[in-house]
Amino acid sequence: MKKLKVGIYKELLLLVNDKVGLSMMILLPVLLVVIITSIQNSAFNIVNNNQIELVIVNEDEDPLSREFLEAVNKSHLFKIQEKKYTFEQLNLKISESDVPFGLYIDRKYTQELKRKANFKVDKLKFAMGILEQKPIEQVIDNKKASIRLIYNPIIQGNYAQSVEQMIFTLNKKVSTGFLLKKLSNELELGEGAFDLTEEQKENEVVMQKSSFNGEDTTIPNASQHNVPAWSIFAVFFMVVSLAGNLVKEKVNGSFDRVLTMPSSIWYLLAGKAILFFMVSLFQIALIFSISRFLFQYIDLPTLYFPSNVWSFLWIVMLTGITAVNYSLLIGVYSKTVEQATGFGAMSIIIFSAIGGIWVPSFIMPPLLKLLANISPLHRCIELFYTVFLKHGAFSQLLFPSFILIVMNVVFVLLVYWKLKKLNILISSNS
Amino acid sequence: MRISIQNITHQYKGATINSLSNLSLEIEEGTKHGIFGANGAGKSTLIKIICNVMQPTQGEVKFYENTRILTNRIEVKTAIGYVPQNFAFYEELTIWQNVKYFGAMFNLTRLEIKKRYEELIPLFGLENHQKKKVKTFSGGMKRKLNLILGLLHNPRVLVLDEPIVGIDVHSKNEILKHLNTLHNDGVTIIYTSHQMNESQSFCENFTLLNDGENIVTGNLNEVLKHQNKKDLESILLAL
Repeated sequence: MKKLKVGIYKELLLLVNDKVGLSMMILLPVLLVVIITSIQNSAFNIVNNNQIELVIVNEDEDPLSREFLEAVNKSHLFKIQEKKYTFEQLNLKISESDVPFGLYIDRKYTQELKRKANFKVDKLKFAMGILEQKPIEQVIDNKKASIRLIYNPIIQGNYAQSVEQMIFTLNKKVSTGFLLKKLSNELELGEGAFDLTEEQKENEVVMQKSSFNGEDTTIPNASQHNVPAWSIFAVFFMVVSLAGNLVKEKVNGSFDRVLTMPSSIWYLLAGKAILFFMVSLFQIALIFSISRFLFQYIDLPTLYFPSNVWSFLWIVMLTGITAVNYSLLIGVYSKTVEQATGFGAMSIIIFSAIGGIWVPSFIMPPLLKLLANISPLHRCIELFYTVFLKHGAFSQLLFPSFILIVMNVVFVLLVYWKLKKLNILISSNS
Repeated sequence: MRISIQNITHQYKGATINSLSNLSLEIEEGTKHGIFGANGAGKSTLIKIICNVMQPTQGEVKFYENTRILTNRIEVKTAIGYVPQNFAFYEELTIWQNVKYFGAMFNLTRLEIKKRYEELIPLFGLENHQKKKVKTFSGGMKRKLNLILGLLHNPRVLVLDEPIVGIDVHSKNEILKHLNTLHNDGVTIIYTSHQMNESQSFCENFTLLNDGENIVTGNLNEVLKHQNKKDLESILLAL
């Protein structure tokens, strides 16, 4: 026990004296979490909270276009500027300015909408036998659509398509509303007898995020996603210090010196493992505390802790242990410090990329999804998301925890096998 | 303590030739025994096997305390002090922090460590550098610390791998002086060096290694006569 305590103390002194290593493990992760969360939060706000600037030119003065504009306004998705431009002027304005979107409502908007509704009602009446003559629809020039959305080319295609979908939905709502009213009148259903417009409202989609307890109503923010993900990345980045440190000792002969002593090499490894495990707990405690208590002062969303504290502690410890064992593995197998730090760092970057730290795994191509399974970081993020976003109970952590424990056993066995192969275990048996 | 090296063979993984081939050697108690040879002759490998850092592919090393063979690994390890060629310590720490760590690994109590520290630091003239980190030391000071760490537990056998390489004459003489004092106290010294002049004047017995084989073992005259040369440097040059 005394040897272990001295070993841990020695590792602590080495770490404290290694300013670069220390800042890589403490300062940089905090910066990383703040920066990434800020970026993601900003993107999140643009998509979800910020109103999209939209210049509207309405050439149609009939009530239906007003109704459509009111629907656009009431959606609260857009910051509207109504202008008296021609289509060409609007086009030029969008190209020249920072305004991302322009909406041109043709003077035939209402007329066109009514014509379409009439045709559909006539078609229905013909089908029902109320109308004797089959209605004929006029051929329409699609290039002269009654609503045209103009977007600035700097806007990403998928973002423009999302806005187009929003406009489409709002327009559809107006046209369907008109169609239903028309239908109600033509079929003489009478006022209040059967309000089809109300029926339409009832069918609107209610969005709710999934959760294991089915009760959670909080909306996940950028912090809930990013803080656990980038904390895991930071914890695993200990590989640079731990593995580098271990190789340095192998190369400079301190490892050999310990082998000549009536002591076991396991004291040396255990000293490192315990100290770095404690560092991992400190890293997570620091990052999570900053996210919980200080983010609000720098305009970032506050991180909400899960109610299940024991599950949280379990996954934090499992993450720390996995990071330590992986780092020891890299340290034992590397022959030079450069190998340990270079390979160690690159492997963590790759594991984090395929493991869903940067972008969620579900949007990855099938091959990468498959590869994600070998990433220890993927397993850790799975556990964090189960606790932080899905509010899973401890039982929901059992399977991913089991996989992670198996990974740890494999890492330790590989370390043991390598040390045995090098005769180090025989030499260090005291 | 007498050391008997019996038919040692060692081959590194992936190598096609043996680093040591059927090597046998007797190192008498209380002697200063030099092991020399060209680069790659197998000196460091032999030293690591004696010190239990490596295991031989074949053969064994026996340690005799008078007539008794030491079979207990801890007993053997406690008897040996190893001073590797590299600076095998933590340069980011102070002397005391290094001494405390390695002392504990030798199973010494805190009191024993402190006592040895207070004995050895003035002996090697490092008392004015106790609060400095080792990385600020000169090469000579680092060599002294390397030696101090091998002496912490009062070993009866001191195994030195190039203990005076890369240091100034003054530090070299100081280290050799301390080694002679230890020898006078009955410590068996096993010594390797490329510096043949110092080796010739320091050691009593010599073993010449070439391609992992023991060419000759004996005192200076016996070795020189066997190789028909006038000094060790000439032997090394002829290899």
